[in-house]
Amino acid sequence: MELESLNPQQLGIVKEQLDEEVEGLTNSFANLRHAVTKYKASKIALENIDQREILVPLTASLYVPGRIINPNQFMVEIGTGYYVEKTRAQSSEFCTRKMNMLMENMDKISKMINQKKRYLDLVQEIMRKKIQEFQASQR
Amino acid sequence: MAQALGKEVSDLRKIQKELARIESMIQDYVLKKHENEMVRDELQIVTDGNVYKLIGPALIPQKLDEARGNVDKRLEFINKEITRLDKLKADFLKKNEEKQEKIMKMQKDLGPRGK
Repeated sequence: MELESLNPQQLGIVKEQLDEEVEGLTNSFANLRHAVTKYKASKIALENIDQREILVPLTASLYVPGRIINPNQFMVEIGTGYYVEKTRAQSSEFCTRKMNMLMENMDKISKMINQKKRYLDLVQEIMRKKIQEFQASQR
Repeated sequence: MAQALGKEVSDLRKIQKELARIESMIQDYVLKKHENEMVRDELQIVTDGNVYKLIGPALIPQKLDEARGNVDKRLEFINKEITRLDKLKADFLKKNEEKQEKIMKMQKDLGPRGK
């Protein structure tokens, strides 16, 4: 883009737009990381479940003692209201698949953020130069 | 003459508002498309095991082929909607451009006489 041909005001608008884009992308990145953390926690929880006595939540403040009948059977939510019964190994694989997909997206976004930041630096550099030139011409 | 210009500008605003609405609908559908594609891929991997659908507060068992079929149908619908909306967006982008050109021309005509 021909940044050199823009005046400081227009460059200011470009800078604002880039700032907004970087903020949006950074938010998305944070959301993805949060989701990865949750899948990681689920995976760890899977490994810790065995035939133990547990407390089952009936409401937010009422728990009832229970026992896990089949520690190898889990119900996994795969999206849009669909749930699938999976074994412990399959569930763990599912979590890994999701985490990998999310981390791939995180990489893409982080590359985009870096690209925008470099562009932002360029815009600010040109703005500084133009303002200097303008001040010099005023003397 | 200035009144005609005012009307054209208000038309332009309407077009741009519609464009923003269409764009937001497209984004929604693209999101739904990704989610349903993920479900479709997961259902492909399922060989044994039961599939359930959350209907209200209840998990209702579903046949695997039925679930796959439903997701495929939904994806077909979503893709059709995206195509339709993309075409609508292209139409409105064209209207936007034409309107902006018309307004510029009117402003130019108005300029010299306005003085």
